[in-house]
Amino acid sequence: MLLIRRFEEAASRLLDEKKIVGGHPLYIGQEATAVPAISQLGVDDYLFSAHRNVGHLLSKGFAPGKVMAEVLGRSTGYNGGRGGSYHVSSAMLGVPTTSAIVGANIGLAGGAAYAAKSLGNGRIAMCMIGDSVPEEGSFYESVNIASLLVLPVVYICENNSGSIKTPTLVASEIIDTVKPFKIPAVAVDGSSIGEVYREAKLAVERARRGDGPSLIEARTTVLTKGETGGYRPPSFETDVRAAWDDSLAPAAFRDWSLHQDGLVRFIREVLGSGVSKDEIINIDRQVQHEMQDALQFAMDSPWPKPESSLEGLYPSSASQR
Amino acid sequence: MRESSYSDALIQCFERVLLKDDRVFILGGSLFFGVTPTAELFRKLVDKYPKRILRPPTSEFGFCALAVGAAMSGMRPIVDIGTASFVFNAWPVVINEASNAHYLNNGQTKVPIIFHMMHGIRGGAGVQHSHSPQSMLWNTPGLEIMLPSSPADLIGLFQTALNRENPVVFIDHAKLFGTSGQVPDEVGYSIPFGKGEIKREGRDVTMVATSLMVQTAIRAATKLSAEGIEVEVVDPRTIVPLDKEIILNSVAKTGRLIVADEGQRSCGIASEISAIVAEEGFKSLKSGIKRVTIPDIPVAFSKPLEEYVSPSEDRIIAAVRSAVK
Repeated sequence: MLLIRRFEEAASRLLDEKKIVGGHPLYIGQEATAVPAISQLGVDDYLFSAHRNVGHLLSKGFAPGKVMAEVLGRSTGYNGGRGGSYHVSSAMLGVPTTSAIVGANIGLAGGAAYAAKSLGNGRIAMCMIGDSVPEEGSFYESVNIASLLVLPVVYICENNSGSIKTPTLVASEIIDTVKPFKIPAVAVDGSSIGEVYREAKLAVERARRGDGPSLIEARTTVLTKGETGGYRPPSFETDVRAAWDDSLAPAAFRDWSLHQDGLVRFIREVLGSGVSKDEIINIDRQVQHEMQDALQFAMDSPWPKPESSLEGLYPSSASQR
Repeated sequence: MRESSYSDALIQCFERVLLKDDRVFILGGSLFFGVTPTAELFRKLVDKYPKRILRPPTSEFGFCALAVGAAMSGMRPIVDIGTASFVFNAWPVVINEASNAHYLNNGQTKVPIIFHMMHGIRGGAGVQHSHSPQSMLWNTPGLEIMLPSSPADLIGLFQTALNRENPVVFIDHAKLFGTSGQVPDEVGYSIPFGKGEIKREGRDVTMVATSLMVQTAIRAATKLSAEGIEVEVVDPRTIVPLDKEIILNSVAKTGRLIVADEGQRSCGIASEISAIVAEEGFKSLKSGIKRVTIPDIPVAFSKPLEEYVSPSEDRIIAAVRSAVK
């Protein structure tokens, strides 16, 4: 969680400095959903994310340096600079593609799950979607097909709209949207690691057992909902000591930090079960070092060669007959 | 060599691949062969391989997305979209997921999928069911596009398609299903992509045609032969990759080019081939290039309306006559 937070804080500063071009939707405030859910997956299990992917991918084991390099468009990034922030992927880590088209990844995830089931390789697919996805028709097509074919897929819908989203869905609850397709759906507090972990575990076990798809709606907060040109909160730096010293919460987001930030909440929980304040500070220090190294690696990385833009449309002719 | 119907050839292609490769599955809508004379043959195949041939719900986006996801994850799907006009329902998946995945992911991910669809005027299908989307697909980097015009081409191109590691669009035509032709006995016969064929030799005019238009072009050429005009019919067989050489060599020989295509005129197949020859074969040309296509108008239902806009033998003959004048 800390790694995700420190990464996105660095990204936010880079956005301020205009060193990140295009958009970079921040995951600050949603860490408590990605970490417990994705930790249930093995390295071979598939994960489908979308444009707001840093939290998901770091939870799957992506190296922060190579993620940052991709966000900066360098050749050492996971996609060689071709994808950028919206499309960071690694087939080796179970993320064959990251589509930013709303409503596309659920179908692709179903396909990966179908392949796993047909090939009998024991893998499952997890698909991270946002609260706008149930407004796309493709959502219903894909959920219907996944339910019909009893696919080993888990959908995690991160509902971060809070009060900012104007009503654009008639259904009163996102979990109601999958009722016609007869798949289990549950809503959880996305800032509670325990709640997310518990429900994700059940959903993943369901999938592994061959009992088909499930939907978990993780309700989180709207702090960092910002795309290109949209609202983006001013950059701030989390002080982990805010978990035990209110005065250290960031002034602009004091209330959110003390009462809704899943990271702060989790720190309080582990303090309550015997971990010491020093250990927390130490872990944070290590994470900050790791992130500094990652950032340095990315900033020092070369740009891709311009002519390389014409390569790689098809797999090499050697592999084709 | 032996005689085979187009339909039998396709069924045999499917059966051979289902037996040979466990990673292959066929995803077919209820119209798979439904609008052709061979629906019964396909139904028998479904009965024989129920687990390998899936009939999805009427959700083109959904089932194409499933197939693309499966192709990224170790399988080799063959998706039948049915009438080519239905590809528009799955457009984002074909254009913005399948075609660019290998490029976007810097070579980490392959999408070995075959999309099958039947284009063009099948007779009375009307405005919404008579599209030839191949020019739009050609305009999308990352898709290879095959257009067999005979059972032998079908067998050879299909064999190559099965070994591609990237998306292949198999542009078919409902009217081809009633045809037949000579096919090689050789098992595993394949035709490489990017290798066209001279379907009829001639010295006076080069006519480039694809899919069903090849047969129309040959009939027109036979009639013109009686007038002493010899038309060379060039069938590229794949438009991506395109055999430019066979076209340019033919134009170097004849000095005249007609391109006949069943799509609408603007930005169509004929436009692109004309542009290539204008750019790279200009010195060979003795007269202006002519395109014989459907005009920029939808294809209406009523027979006289449909026939009027079709790139018919008569329109091809008129174009050739004006080219040699």
